[in-house]
Amino acid sequence: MMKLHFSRKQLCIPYALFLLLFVVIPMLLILFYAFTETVDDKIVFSFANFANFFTSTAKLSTLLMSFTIAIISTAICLLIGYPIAYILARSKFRKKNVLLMLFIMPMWINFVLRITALRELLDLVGLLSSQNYLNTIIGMVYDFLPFMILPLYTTLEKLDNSYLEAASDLGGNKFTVFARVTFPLSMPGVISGITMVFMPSMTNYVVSDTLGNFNITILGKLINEYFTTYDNWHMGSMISIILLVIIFLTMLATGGFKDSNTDARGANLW
Amino acid sequence: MVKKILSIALCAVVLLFIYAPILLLVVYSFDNSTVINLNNFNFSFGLYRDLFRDEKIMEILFNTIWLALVAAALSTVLGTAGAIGIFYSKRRVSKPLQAVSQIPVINAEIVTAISLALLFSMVFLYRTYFSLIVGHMVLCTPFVILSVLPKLKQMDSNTYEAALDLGASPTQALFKVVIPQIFTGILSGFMLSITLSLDDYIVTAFTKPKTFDTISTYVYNAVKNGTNSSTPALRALSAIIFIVMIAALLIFNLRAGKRKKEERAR
Amino acid sequence: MKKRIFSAALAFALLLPFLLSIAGCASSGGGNTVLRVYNWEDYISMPDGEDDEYVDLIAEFEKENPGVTVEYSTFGTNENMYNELKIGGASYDLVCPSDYMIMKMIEEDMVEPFEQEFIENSNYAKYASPYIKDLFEKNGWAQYAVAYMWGTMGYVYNPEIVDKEDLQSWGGIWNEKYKNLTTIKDSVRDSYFLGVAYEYLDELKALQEEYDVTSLDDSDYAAYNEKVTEIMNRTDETTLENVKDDLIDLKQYLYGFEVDSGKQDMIVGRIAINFAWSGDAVFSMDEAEPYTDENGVYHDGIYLNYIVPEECSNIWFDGWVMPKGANVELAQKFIDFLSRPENAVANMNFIGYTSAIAGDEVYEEMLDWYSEGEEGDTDESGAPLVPYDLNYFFEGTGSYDDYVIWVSEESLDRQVAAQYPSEEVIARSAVMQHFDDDTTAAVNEMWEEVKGLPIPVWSYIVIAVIAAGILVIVLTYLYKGRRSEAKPKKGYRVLKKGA
Repeated sequence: MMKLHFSRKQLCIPYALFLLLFVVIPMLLILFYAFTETVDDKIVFSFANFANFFTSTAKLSTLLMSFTIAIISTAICLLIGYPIAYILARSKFRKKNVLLMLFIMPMWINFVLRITALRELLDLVGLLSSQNYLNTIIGMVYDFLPFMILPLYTTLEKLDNSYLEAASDLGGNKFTVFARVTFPLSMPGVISGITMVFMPSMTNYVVSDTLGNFNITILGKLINEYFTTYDNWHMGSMISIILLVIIFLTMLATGGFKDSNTDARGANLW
Repeated sequence: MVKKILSIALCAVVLLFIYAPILLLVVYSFDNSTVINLNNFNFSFGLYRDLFRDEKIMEILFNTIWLALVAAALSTVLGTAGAIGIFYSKRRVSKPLQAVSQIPVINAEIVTAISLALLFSMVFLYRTYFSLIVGHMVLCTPFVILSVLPKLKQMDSNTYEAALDLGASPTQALFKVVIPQIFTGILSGFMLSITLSLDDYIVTAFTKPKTFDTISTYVYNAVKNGTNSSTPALRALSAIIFIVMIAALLIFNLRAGKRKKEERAR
Repeated sequence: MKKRIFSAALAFALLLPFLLSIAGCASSGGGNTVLRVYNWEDYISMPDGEDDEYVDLIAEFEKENPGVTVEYSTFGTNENMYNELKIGGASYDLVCPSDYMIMKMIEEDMVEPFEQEFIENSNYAKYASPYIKDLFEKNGWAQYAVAYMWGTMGYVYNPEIVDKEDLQSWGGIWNEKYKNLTTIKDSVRDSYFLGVAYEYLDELKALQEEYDVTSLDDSDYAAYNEKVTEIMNRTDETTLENVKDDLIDLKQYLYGFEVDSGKQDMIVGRIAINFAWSGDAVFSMDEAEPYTDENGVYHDGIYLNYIVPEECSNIWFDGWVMPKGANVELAQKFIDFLSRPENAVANMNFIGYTSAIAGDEVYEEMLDWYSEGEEGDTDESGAPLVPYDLNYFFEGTGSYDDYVIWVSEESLDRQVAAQYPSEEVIARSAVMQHFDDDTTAAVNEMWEEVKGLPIPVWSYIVIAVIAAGILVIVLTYLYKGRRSEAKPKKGYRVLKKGA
């Protein structure tokens, strides 16, 4: 019995190795670059990048701007996605799976192609030339809405009807039942939806470049620029680390680390 | 009643938003002009002809699919094994593994991409097929774990023990008892990996070999340069992908419906 | 047994990427010598359909040199190329950076020198324009780099919308009139150049009046050019600060920044002014013109113009260099091949840029494109043709004695002037110099602010609202915590006894 247990556990060794080599070590590299500087071809330990980030108007503005874009996009996704997921999950329509599929099907079309298509449409409507920020937000919502609908639908669908009945039997009006029972119970879906939308909206520069005519710099773009244009890997790594801290804090604040919430992220796409 | 109408209206509006750009491309894939112009539509199959004649695009399409299949297959094997291993390990081992496994899921793609680029440049594997496939595996494998683990948790653990008691070797038990029970999880992990790999731009851009292109990198470059003469042909490509998707959806649902009927008939 | 198969499969899964990459290398190599070329996008004649009339230069080269495979990849900006080279190590034989980047790479000892034999006896030595060769010699690059394409920077504009007068000055695009109609380059150095030109408009004009140089043979040319070059490459703190403000100010009038899409936007009429390299200008003008296709169908279009503002311009070069560790012999062979005048013509036909190669074939092609007659002829409106002197470029590379073509007055706003700038334009043009690391960092910092600022006011409002929202939620929770639990929660009726 002992031996057998050992062998099943062994199966995680390749994966553990994989994670160590291609996730942990690369992250440590980023950490290393973030707190070093190249002086006369020598790499020395330094806090200069850290200090530079928090004293640079451009970087702080970029951070603020990305934050704003991400918050607005996430909020819009939630405002649109929740009712949709709710309607779909509660509907008695027999083929609601097909309906759900309709909403998430665009996910299977390459996102660069989709964003290009959106660009054509915005160009026709006349928004492309003048509304860079609006376009970027539209693009983020367009791209990430399915990521919001999917986990919401999953949690709402599993929702036990008897809770809701109990709540209204106990005298809750429709709004109260929703606010005090349905919504709190769907929190895992809301949280995983938010984590799936917020982070990419802060960093997916393909969307902001394509729809904002290269006018908008978001955090992901800035990191990209430091590695491909400005030739300063140290600063690029520092921005990445700051981004990671932000992710970590958002997860902590929304309880995204709890087991129930990570499970909902299992993306029941298939 | 009002509520129902409102719900339908909301769904309709959102669906319109989601499909308008795609439909625009589909309609104008039958128009030859370089730029979409609402007042001017000349029906032609020109773009489709261009598309299939364009060796470059055909090669890219092949690359993209090939990459997705390889990366997804490898991720699925690695991820399934990993999930089984994690499931049977002690918390002391499984907890940190699961936590690290979450990093690529919640991390910004650009950070994953540059961290891999840094690593591979140090070991002289930058911009090779190795870096590309590993990059995609880093993106996909955690999702395989996320799809397989819940199935393992749902599994009746007694069946495995029963198989052993009945004389099966541990490996036989694993393949004949465990794997079939978590098979739907494995399959959805595989499909999810394919989707993620097909969709990826950023990691691909930082890890791909110099002369290798996927649809994502090719289209993004075309947008950036604006001059690429095959850009209109991409409308035809999008249209085809879209139609294939619809067909897949229909088949999927028809078969699912049929299966249900059969089950009911039994 | 099965367990062993399974673990073998796992090991295989881990190793497969390795195997595939080895297979990948082998298949691309195939026992052949590989020439790895890293060039700008769309920068070599390369037809993309079977029915294309353009020459496939790479295929030709491979045909001429059996056993050689060209691995051709492309980049979008000098900086991208440089970083790719730095991350990827020595993985190219031939790259094509611009002037200032060539200087940087030479300074950082990143490139191999050309062999003396090549410098003296190649097709490049024979056919390259004397003007270009002089310039390379004067700056000390001749040993490390050979010119590929060259040109000026200016504005491509749509004369139906834009006043030519406005664009006689670099400052013309800082103008409410052209709001959302202009694109500039998403490239630090080019846009910085534009900013500096705008910042020092008056100084440049004064200089021009003082020296009044219109030809390269003018005795004052050297002194004047040195001064213009100094101004256009200024990077002191005040200049940086002012240029930053100028460019941020310019942003409100822009349609956007572009890497390469300006051409297409110009052609389809999405924008009306494009800060462009002369070669892109030629391409845009060619493509935008109305034309009648082989079926006799007329396609509407726009006649675009190109102008180099009066104050100064940038004269730029893209040249081939061989990174350290390159296959020098093969790289030189490729350049020698590209430097044949007929191949230079093929490139010019395809790209629209001006090759550094002169020679009879190039000049004859040029006559074929642009010459509208002889001395004394008139154009359609009856106005006499004007001479366009190109001796400075072609002299001594072919069999002609005098390189002057006769064109109509309007043509001076069109392709010919973009393709081969007049001596007068060249006389007032400066070459971009390479900045040292600290300066580059400062300029990058400036560019980052230009790209990132200003952020719209509403973004502060949104942040403030969110912060307030969070505060309210926190306060409500704190307040609620203190309330008695006996009261029914809001929204719940107290059920009457017996009901």
